[in-house]
Amino acid sequence: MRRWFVVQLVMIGLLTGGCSPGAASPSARASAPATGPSASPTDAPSSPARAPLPIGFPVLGGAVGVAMPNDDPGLIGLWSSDAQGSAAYDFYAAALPAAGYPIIGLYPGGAAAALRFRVSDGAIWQMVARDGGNGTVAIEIRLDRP
Amino acid sequence: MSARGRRAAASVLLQLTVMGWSAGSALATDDYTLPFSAPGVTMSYGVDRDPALNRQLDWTGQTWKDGVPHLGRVYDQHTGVDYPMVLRSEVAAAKDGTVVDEEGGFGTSQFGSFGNFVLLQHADGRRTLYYHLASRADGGISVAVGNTVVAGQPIGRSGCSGICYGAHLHFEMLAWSSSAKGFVPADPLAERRWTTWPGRIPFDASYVRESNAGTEVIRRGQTITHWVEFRNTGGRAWRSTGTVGRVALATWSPAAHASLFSASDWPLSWMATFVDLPSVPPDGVGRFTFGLRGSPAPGSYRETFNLIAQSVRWFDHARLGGYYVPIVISNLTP
Repeated sequence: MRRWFVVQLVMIGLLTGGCSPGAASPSARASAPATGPSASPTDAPSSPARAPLPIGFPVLGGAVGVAMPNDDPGLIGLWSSDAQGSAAYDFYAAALPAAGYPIIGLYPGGAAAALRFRVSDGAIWQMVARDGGNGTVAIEIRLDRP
Repeated sequence: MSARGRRAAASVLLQLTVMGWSAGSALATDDYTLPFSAPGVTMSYGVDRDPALNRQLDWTGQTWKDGVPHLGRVYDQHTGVDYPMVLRSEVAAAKDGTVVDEEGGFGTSQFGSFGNFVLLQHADGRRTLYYHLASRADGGISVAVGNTVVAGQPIGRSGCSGICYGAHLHFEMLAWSSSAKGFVPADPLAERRWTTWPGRIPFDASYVRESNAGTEVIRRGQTITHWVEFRNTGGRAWRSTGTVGRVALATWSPAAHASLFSASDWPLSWMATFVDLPSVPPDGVGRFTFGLRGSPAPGSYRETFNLIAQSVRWFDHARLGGYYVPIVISNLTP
């Protein structure tokens, strides 16, 4: 029974690539979130106007800034991290309130996790952690979107 | 009064479509509950069986807690519902059933291809899956294959094992597909059989009182006002507005028949009224006020009523005490 079920899970996972149990993925890695300096995300040439990332905004330790695509002006920051699983989500769930950004929504999931939080001008931003490929997690800070 | 007018319940399967009010479920025993008891837990990511529609509704039919349709946060072809759960929160069976599979060998927050889960088989042929659980050593699995469980019974604790980006419970319903010759994810939006109250069926009621528990005497051609109160013993709030799930008092035996006593305030010839208050929470008492018109020839009658949740289901009439109103139509002033 279990073997059959696992086969079913693998098939579902291959079909969805999402939260469905069994989605194929790189194996687990140990990674501990930590605050600290990190490379800043950079824009590709001719980048659109973006909201600036506030000074002192928390960044997951070890995360590396990644060039942001021009076709996503809502993106404010983009990093890549080896800290898989819930590390980014857990880090920002604790670090954002501590840094003065109240969280207004927690959305953990199997394909991605999101936090919605409020910045100083009252606007709502999001942190999104998702599969970045090659065993990494992509961490986005972006304007809120539906 | 509570035992008044008991009748064998008619086959409500015949009432699946009543003037556009399709009933999705006929038997109370088909109902499921959400798999936790913690109040305030709302969907993180919803079922999306249709990428084109980007459905994002919860299994309870609710939108996100902040009321905004977060279409972008539904990942296409997701086969279950994600509920944020603090690590090691209690997970409960959604319905009576038997444990047919489980896995608890992965770490509570171990990221990887597979994670910990419990799979239950239910008497109606469906299965429910509880995924991303904590490890067995961490209390994530508290049942074993072959165990029987009842709705609301704790079966484990939440975790973030498997493909997981933040502690949550992936809750999924599976139904047998003869064409696929296997279990496939069921569409909970079509099922509409869910409640956020573990151990309670969504729509249930018990008789409390009425304006006149005896016989209503109505002068022919006149209309009198009658009210009845029922306690909400189900797991979902009764509402008087909306398109799905609003609760109405309607004729019964046979279900949805045109009433001889329908008054001008009736929404339909077979529907006396919606619940008076905008919302009646579980354990609250809802009043249904409606007119009874003395239209038929003088004589003794009875009109039987039941509750219906719009587009969802009829209530179990026996649990309403077999409610009916004895009526005498007179030519004389009462």
